[in-house]
Amino acid sequence: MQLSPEQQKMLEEQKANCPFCKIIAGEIPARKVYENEQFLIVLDINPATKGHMLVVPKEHYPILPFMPMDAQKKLFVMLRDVMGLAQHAMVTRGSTLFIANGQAAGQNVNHFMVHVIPRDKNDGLYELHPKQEDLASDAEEFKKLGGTLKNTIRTVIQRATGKAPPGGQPQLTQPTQSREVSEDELINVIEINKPLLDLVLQQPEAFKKVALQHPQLKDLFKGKDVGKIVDKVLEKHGKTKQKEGGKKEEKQEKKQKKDGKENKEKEVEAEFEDVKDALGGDKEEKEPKEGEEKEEQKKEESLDDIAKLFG
Amino acid sequence: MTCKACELIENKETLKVYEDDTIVAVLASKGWVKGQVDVFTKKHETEITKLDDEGMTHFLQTSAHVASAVFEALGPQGTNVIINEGNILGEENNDNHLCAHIVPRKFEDNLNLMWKPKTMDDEEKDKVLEKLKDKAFALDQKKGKKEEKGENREGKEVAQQDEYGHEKKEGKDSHEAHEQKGEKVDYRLKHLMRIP
Repeated sequence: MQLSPEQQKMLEEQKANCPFCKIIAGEIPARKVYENEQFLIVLDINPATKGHMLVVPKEHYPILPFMPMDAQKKLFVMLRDVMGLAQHAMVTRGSTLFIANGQAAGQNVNHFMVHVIPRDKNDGLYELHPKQEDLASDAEEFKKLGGTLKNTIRTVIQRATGKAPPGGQPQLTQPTQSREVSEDELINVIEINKPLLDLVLQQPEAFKKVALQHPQLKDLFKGKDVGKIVDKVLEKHGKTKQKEGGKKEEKQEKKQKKDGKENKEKEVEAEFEDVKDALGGDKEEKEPKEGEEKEEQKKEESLDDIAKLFG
Repeated sequence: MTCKACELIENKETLKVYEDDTIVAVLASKGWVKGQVDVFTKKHETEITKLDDEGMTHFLQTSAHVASAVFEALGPQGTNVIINEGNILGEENNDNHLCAHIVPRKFEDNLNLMWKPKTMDDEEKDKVLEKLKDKAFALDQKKGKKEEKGENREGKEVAQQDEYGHEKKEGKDSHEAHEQKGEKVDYRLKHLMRIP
């Protein structure tokens, strides 16, 4: 993933202080079970059961989602065999695989790793088995949560694999049409549409105006605090509010005022007509699917027009 | 006895958040915490060690995607991925259909999933280490058998090269996809702020 220099520095600092990087480098001793180019397997110093192992990627990833897909694949195949090893060597009937992403999940060291714990019937590790809390008491909330997750899972898989996951394309339009989108989801929409994202990053002020006037976008952004959404996106990408764009625009506006108010309004109208035309065909703002490229291209062209207008 | 998980998967009322040919992900109606997703193999598998490479990667990869989606959709401060596999609770317990629990976590969620560490002296630990090391060659062996393409084994050179090239291409694509992903998602960046 792309890190800003500052983030890269944070990662380096994390690595330099990471006990597992030191174990991998041989600076801290550990009971090593197995080692290959990419992974190291050691015994956990605070084992849940006898034979509790940690499968540690040699590369420092803070949490699993940092790990590239091809490295994940290798890890997953290996994990099956490590679970087999746990059962075979410790003579048990089962094992538990445990991943903690983040301190809140019980991750004590910020180096992604997987716990493999040999299990026995009487080991008393009840905390690793699901509680039986009723999570669906509020049927409506439960359904809504399911809809949100369903869409996000599709988005994540599509983004990671470049392919739309199977099934459900027809079903998909229903929940997206009927339910109100949250600000976070709008941010997600911007994030997954590169042309939109570029526009927000480069021309935040322009985007704020476009979002409320554009025929397709305006439905999505209706009643939302576009400014806040834009700020959040900028913040996510490590930019604070872009004053410059605004200033330039003001200047331009002042200049154009001098040139004649009427003239400017006409121009704006004409430009928006262009945008409408160009964007007229694409109805799927939320879920880019087949023909995504075409649509994106179209959007890109039209957004260029917008960019020119405010540039 | 019928399997609860199989019943759940077949039940049309079940809230499925993802489904393909081999995997079903269900929003848990019973479990630790709201937003928990249970990822099942569609087939009634009970032992993870019996999955082939493809089945295994697909099962865990999908679970990983679900974990990413849980991060993005629900904005938790962390996630757990937990798989209890095999006959841990004994043969008579029919609750052993292969399942990965994806659990959204917050600092103040009052869940405790952490085990009490077992106290073991150094001698005992060394004994365990020997036992595991003794069988760890299985990791090499299996790797050799199943990932022949990746290892530069002599013999079927031509066929391997093709396969290897194919494999490589796949790897590159998915890596690109990952980088693309990296540009756009950044709940992950929060995890950079932590220093161990």
